[in-house]
Amino acid sequence: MLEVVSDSAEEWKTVAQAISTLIEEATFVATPEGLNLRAMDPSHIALIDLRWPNTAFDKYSCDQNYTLTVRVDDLLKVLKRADSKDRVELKLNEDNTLELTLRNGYERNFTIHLVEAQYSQTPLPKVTFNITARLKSTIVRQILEDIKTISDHVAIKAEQGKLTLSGKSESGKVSVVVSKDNPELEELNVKDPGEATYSIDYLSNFSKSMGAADSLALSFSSKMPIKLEFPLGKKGGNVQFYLAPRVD
Amino acid sequence: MHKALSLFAPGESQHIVKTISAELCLRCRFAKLLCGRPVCPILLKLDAYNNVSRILSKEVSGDTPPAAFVGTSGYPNVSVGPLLPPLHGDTRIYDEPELWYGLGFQEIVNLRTFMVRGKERYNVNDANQAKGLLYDLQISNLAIRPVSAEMVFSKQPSSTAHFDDDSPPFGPSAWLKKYRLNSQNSDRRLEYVFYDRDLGSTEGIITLYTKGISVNSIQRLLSVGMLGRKRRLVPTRWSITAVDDAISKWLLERVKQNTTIDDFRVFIKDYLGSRYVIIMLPFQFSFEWIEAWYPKTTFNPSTSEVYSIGDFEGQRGRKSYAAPGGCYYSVRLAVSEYLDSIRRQAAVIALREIYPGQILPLGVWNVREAIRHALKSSYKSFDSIESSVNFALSNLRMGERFWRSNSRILRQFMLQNSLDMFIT
Repeated sequence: MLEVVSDSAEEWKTVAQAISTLIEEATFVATPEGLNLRAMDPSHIALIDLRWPNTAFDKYSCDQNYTLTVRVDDLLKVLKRADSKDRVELKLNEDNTLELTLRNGYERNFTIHLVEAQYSQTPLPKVTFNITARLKSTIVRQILEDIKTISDHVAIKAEQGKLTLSGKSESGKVSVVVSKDNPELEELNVKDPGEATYSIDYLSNFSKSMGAADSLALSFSSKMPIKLEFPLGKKGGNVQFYLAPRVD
Repeated sequence: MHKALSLFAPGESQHIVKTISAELCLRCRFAKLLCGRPVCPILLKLDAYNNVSRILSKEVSGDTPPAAFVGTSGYPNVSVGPLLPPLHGDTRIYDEPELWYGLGFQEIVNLRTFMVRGKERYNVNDANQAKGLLYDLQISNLAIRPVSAEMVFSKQPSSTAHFDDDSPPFGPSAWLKKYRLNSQNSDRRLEYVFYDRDLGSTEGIITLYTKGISVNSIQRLLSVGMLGRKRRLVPTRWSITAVDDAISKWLLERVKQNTTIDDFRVFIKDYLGSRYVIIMLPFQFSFEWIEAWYPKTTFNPSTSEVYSIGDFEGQRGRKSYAAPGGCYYSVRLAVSEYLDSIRRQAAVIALREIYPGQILPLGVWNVREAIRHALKSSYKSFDSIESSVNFALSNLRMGERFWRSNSRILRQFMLQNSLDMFIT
């Protein structure tokens, strides 16, 4: 038996949005401790890791482990019908369907079919992060849009006290410096200065899916994958995103 | 300044094409008249070129392969009719591109322009309850072998030829007064789909394909309005792409479930003035098709530069119409047939260089058959992306820089690491 109730649809919307940037079918793993999802995109360039502990829900009852695979589009369509303030109830039916009830004054009851899928746990990349930073999510979105005007990739360079994000292409170049004096850069730890380049499409799609989270933690090392992380709501949920670097 | 088409007499007509950019012609390919002229200047000359004096009379008798043509002009009131060569016997080769591979330009043009086309005007919706000529035409298209027929025209057919980027060439035509059809044996597989009015057109296409009917025959049935619930005439050039698209989509659904190939493969084929190079990478399915037209080729007659046009799709497929047009879907069909036959998936980059020998458009079948044959021949196997791409591009004249910068899939895979490198 699995029944999960959230008092706001906001977090579900964020989750569906974030996964939809990478995959078409998503397998949630429900355990008595909470709801998790980890998946790589088909090209194996990016990975999403969602951890959603039972404490983050209004009501969470789960008697054993379940894997539920849904078409992300199906989930997204239903959640688009929900207002951020709607209460969301999710129930796994015995006929392998997922029942989603949205409540806000009136009640809407959706049933979506689960997909049969073989599930195997994806391991996380093993990376030692020499650089960690915390930035306001709005500025991250802005900078990525700035760089996108010129380039389809972004080089991120960390030195003591500042981050430089830059891009170049045949049409020109662009660079943005965020230093410690800048209130948007909330935190910066540089154990070892470094630089790496990443695809901007992945980063910007992911950063757009952050929902209400107002800051974003970023970790990387020279020529290694980058990890972006933001909290899901205020009760312990968390979304991590890994992206492989481009070849220099 | 390069001379326009080599078919032009020196000094003559060059002004007609000089002001049209190759890019425009490449996008238009006779179909849309983007240059704003009432008649395509390139076609005009081709018609004249093909205006060989022939003895054509107001009556023709012969065996239709069977073949049919549905025009686009005047849509939804279009010209429809059968084609037949003025001879009896096994005439199947006249309308079966799958039998043409290996023939040269002239042989193909001769085959096609030897057929006379009768036409009558119909509204596309008339196909739903076909009567008269349209009914006879539908019935003759069920035939298992060529059907002997007679056409009587209101006027003697004019000896012209029509060339199109999507459909094969067509010869002289005239308005029909009478169409007489002899008895025939019908193909059960075709009858099954034709008489089932509850079968959607996509299901019909797939049913015929899985029963071994050629892509060309399926396309012909779709075009004369013999498939689907609510039946409609579909102009030949549209029906070709519709069938290529439907079959390849269906195949790709299966292909995308397969495991990837284990090596990097390169296939090379030369056909009808073009070189085809196909690169397959051991990644999830994605597909890209790029054509580079050299100067003095059909769709790039007037410049001294090479123009290229291409498009691609990822794992999720595509929703918009591909930039290169019908050939994109024909190539995708040949590629998906191959992947389905080996039960694997791959990221596929198919490249074509069209050299100055390519003077006439023959229809997308020539691209489909070239790729099908390329994928049937032996390939070279590599163990790294670099070595396979180097080999592939060294077999193309445009060189590495050109292709590396033009191919989105190459750029993506050559410049992007995979997370697998960091998971051990």
